[in-house]
Amino acid sequence: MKISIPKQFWILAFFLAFVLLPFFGGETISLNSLWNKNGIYEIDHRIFWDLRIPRLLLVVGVGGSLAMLGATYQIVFNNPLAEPYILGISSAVTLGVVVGETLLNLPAHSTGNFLVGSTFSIGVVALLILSYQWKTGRELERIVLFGLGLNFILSSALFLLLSYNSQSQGGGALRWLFGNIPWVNLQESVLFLAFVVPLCGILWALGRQLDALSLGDTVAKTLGVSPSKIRILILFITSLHLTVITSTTGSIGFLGLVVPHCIRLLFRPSSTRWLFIGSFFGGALFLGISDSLSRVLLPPMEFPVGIITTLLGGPLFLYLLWKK
Amino acid sequence: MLHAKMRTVKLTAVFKSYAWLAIALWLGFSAQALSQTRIVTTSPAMTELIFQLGHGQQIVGASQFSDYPEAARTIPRIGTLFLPSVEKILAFSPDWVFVDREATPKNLVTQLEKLKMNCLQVSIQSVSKLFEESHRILKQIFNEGENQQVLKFENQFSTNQQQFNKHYSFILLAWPNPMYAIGRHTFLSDLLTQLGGENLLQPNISASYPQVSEEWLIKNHPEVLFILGDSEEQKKQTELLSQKIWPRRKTKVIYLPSEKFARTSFTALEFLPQILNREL
Repeated sequence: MKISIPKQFWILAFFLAFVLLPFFGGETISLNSLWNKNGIYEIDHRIFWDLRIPRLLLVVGVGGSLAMLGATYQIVFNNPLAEPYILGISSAVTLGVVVGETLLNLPAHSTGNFLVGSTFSIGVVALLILSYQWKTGRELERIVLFGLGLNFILSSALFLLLSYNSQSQGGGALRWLFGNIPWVNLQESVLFLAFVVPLCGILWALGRQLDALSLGDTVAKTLGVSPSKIRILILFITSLHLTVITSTTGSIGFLGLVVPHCIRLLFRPSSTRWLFIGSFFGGALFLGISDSLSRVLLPPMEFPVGIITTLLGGPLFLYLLWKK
Repeated sequence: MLHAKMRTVKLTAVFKSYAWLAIALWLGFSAQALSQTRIVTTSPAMTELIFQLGHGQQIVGASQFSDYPEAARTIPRIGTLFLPSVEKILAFSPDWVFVDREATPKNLVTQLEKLKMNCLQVSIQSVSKLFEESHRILKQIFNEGENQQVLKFENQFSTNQQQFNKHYSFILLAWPNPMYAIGRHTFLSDLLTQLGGENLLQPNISASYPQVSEEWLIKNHPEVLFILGDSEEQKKQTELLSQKIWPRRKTKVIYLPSEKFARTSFTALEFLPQILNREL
C-alpha cells in the first residue's frame, strides 16, 4: 500500500507522540535522570522507568484494544454507533467485579474477581446469542436493542450496588464506574499485553471475514462467509477481550466509538485489517493523551481517565457528526 | 367590710395557689416535652456524637451503618448517608433532624424545610469545630449549659496535646488503591496536625478526598503513612504500595481503624493519642 505524504506526516506524529508521552505526568522530571539513577536523580529515574513506562504499556494495550473492539462492533452490527459498551457486556463485567469486590470480598484485580466478571459477561453473551437466534428472524437491530436494554438493567443494578456500598467500602469501588488506570509494574504490564495482543491478533486475522460481512450478509454468504457463525465467534472473542480490559481498568467510554471513525476520516483504510491497525495505535494514543491529562491538569490530583476520554471524545464525536 | 376584705384575701390565696399549680404543670410538661425531643440523624457520625453528648436515647431514626456505640445498632434506619429516605424521616415525626453538612446530599435539607421540619446543620471540619458544635447542639436543642462530658473531653485533649511533643510529616490515605488521600480541610487531618503532624498534601487542594498520583507519593516521602481502615485487603494493598513506591526506605505505616476514625466524634480524640504514643 502506497502511503501519501499527509498520511506519512500523521504516522510520524503518532510515533512522536508516543515517545513524548512518558515525559508528561504529575511531577516534573529531569532528563538527566533517564540514564542516571544515582543521588538526586534516583527518584526521577524511578518515576520514569518504574511508573510511567509500565503505565504507558498498559495504556497502549487498553486503548488499542478498546478502539479495535469499537471498529469490530461497528462492522459486525453494521451500526456506526456501536461500541464495546453498547451490548452490555462491559456493564456485565463491571457489575461482576463490583459484586466480587463488595459482596464476596474478593480482592480487586484478583483471579477470583476476574472469574466473577467473566461469569457475568458469559451470561450476557449467552442472552445476546439467544436473542439473535430467537425465532426465525435474525435482524441485527434486535441484538443491538436487546444489548441496549441489558445495558440499562445492568447499569442500574451497578449504580444501586455502588450507591449502597460506597459508604462502607470507601471510594475504591467507584473507580469501576469512571475508569481508572491502576498502578502496575513492568512484569504486570507485559503480562497484560501478553493477554490482549494475541486477542487483537485473532481479530486482525478475522479481518477478511469482516470485510465480507461489511458488504452485507447476502454478499458475505456468496463469498463463503457464514454471517451468523462469524458473529457468534466474534461475540465470544470480544467478550473475553472486554472482560480482561474492564476487570483491569473499569469502564472507559467513548474511545471505542470515536477512534475508528477518526481513523476512517484521516486514513481512509482500504480494508478492515488496516482499520484495525490504525484503530489500535489511534486508541493507544488517545488513551495515552487522556491519561497524561488526568495527571497533569491539577497535580498531585489524578482524575479518573474515563472522565477525560468522554470529555475529549464527546466534542470530537459531535464534530464528526456535524462534518458528515 | 371585713367580710369583703377576707373574701378578697381568700380569692388572692386561691388564685396564687392555682398560679403556682399552673407554673408547676407548665414546667412539668416542658420537662417532659424536652425529654421526649425526637431526633433523626442523617449520618453515622451524627448518631455517634449525639450518643456522646448523652442524648442517644432520643434518636428515633438513624442513618444506615450507625453502629457505634452498640445501642445505635437497634435504632430504626432512614436509608444510607447518600440516599436517605425523606418518607422515612417524615414517618418518625422528629422534632429535629441532625444533618451532617459535609456529607449529606444538599437537596435533603431543602426537601425537609419544604416539609416544615426543623433541620440542624452541623459542620465539623476541625477539632475546635467539634467542641463548638457540641456546645451549640447542647444549648440550642437540649437547653443545656456546660456539659461535663464535653468539658472532660476538652481538658483531656488539651493535656494530650501538651504531653505529646513529637513532630512528623504524614500522608493520610482513605484508600490505598487507587490512592484517595485525605485533605487538610478535614477533621482527621486537623486532629493529626494538632498532635504534631504535618499533612504533606498541599493546602491549596480544597477537595477533602482527592485521588492522588503515585508520582507525587514518590516525590513526597512522609515519615508516617496513615491508612484509614485496617481491613486485610487494605493492609495487603498498602504493603504493595509501600514496596512499590518506597522500596529502599521503610515507611512507618499506621492503620487507623475506621470504626473509630472515619467519623467526626470524640472517639477519635480519645484513641489517637494512645495509638501515636504506642507507634511513634
